[in-house]
Amino acid sequence: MKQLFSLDRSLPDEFFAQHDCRILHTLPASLSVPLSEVNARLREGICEHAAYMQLLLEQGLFDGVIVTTHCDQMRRCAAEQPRMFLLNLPRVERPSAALLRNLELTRLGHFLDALEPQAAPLPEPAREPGSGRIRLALLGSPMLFGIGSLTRFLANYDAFIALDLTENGNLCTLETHPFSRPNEPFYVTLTRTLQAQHIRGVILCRTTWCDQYRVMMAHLREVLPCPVTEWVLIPGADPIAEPRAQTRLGAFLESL
Amino acid sequence: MLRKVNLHEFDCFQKTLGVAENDQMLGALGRHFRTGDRRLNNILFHPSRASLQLWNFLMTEEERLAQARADGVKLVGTLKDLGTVPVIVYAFDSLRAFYPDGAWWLPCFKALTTDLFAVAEACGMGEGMCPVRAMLAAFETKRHFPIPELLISSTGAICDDFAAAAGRLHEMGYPVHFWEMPHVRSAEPYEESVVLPDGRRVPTAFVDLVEREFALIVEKCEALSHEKMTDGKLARSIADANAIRGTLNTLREKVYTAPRPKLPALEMLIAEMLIIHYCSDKDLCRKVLDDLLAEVEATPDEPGHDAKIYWVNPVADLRAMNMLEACGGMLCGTDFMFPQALMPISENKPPLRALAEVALCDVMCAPTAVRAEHVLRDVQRFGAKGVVCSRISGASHCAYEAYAIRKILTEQAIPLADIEIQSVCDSFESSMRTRIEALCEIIRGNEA
Repeated sequence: MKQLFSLDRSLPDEFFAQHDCRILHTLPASLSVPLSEVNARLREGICEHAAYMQLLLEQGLFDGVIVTTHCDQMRRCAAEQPRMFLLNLPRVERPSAALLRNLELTRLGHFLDALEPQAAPLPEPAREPGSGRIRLALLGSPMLFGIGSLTRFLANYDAFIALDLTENGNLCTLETHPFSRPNEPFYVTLTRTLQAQHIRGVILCRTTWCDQYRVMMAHLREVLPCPVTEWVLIPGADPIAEPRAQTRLGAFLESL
Repeated sequence: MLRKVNLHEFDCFQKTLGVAENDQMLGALGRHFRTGDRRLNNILFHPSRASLQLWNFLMTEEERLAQARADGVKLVGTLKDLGTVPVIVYAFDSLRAFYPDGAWWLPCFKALTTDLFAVAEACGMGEGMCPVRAMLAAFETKRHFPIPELLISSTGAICDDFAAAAGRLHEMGYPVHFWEMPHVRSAEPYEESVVLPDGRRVPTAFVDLVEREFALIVEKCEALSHEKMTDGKLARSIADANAIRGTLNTLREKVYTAPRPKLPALEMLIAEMLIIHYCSDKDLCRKVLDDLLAEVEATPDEPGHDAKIYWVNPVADLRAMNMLEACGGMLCGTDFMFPQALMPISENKPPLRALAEVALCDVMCAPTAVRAEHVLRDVQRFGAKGVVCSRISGASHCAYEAYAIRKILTEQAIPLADIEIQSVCDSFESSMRTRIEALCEIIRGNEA
């Protein structure tokens, strides 16, 4: 079976299974990618996520990687990487754009069929369901290694992520994307979901150069029915180990 | 070296023309400096009537837009696509298109003396993002251009900063009609395909998609103008666009292939920028470009020893273009992000289809290698010996582009200087000059 990685979850895993592929959306904690290689790319202005996508292939950890056209970094990191598939995801939600999506699915099918299974099977990333009194939602950039370390940190404050709406979390369950244009349906659905799930606070996480999530912060503050805080993921390390992140999130949780 | 003058000298030159100081097309630029465009005092100008007219045309756009509105013309803000949607808008007699994105130059013109970036930060776009964030502030403060009746923005495979800015504008209560611009990849062997004007073969479905998106834009414009669009009107607008593009292309050819500069780099930047929406007046734009061309044609060829340099990306600080000549270089070709706006549009196809095909030639929506190859072709066409790739501070596409362009140029032994330019670059001037001077020395060394 071929082993794939994608931070995007807009396509069902069953689609990949039909093409004899297993797809992961978070990396196992045990996975080793040389941090020096990541940092070297960061110095060139390449974001952490794009750097990882390239390195996962270069290190032979996956047979293929799928990225989307939703951001500059992902769009450009696919260049000259024959085993990286760039999925053209339309932003407008019109029938004409749906045709583009169908075109891309056909192309993706051809790409998957042409891959050779070579990568050693990786373990399924561990999931650590949290619990606590304070229900939080997490929104924003994908969390490469999942939310395990965040869950452990939040437990100190009797809080947990009840709703993981990061890109490689369960954002796709909203059936609308924050990067769609216009994106009013996203905010309507998000607000309804937060209320239905009794969410007390929202954490918007983003990588350093993720402009699109960065700008979302202003509108989230305007429309959300609960407090929201911003968590900038410092590249190349366990994001919650960073003292500023702990201080910021700790203060947010205390205020809740 | 090409003669250039400062603002005071340029105003003295204007007096010799016997034209009123506040003439809209040939007035003294000092009047704009006195009303807040402070950066003009740090720029050097080409002392010619054609250049004076060019600068006046640029600096009076806001006045002309206000006058157009007073005359009953409806304003359409076209965002991001750079060159194509205005051709549709200008097919309507009662509509006028302009790019609010142009506000990215306001912090430079105002020499950072306004609160534009602070207001943009309050709107959600802070430091570390592309200077196009000044556009949000211009809308919020309503001080820099009339707020358009209709906003049309491309979306899809566009740069992150602009995707964020246009989205935020919509959220701030300025409704935007978005149209999908796909990431323009090559067609697969099994896909029905079409060849674009730039020679790339892409899926026919992409052209179908953009053509349908343009049909929706026509509907929006019809609703705004109460005017029925016809293929004939669109065809006339395309013919006008082709005529103006033709003049600009001739100007580029004559300036960039001359043995010594006939117009300064800065004036060429401004002249090229006019093409994306005619600086809000198609007829005047044609006259401005015709006069620049006449000026160039009247300048005799003389032997020159300036280093021939191709420039990639527009600069956030206009003064940076002056620096090229001060360092011993001459402009020899450009890619200011809109080669699609320089291409002739087919007049033998249904108009919206022809426009869709040209829109898809936008190198910013293509794989980075496509832009790099375009730069290389242009460098070879104009005979440039080196390249300046000017990064836009905070723009997330720049890192990859500079890398891809450097890679393809290195294979051809063409040197490249990669510099980042802020909205006011004075504090970086010495390091920028060092890098451009070094590039010029390498070029001269290679030629020796």
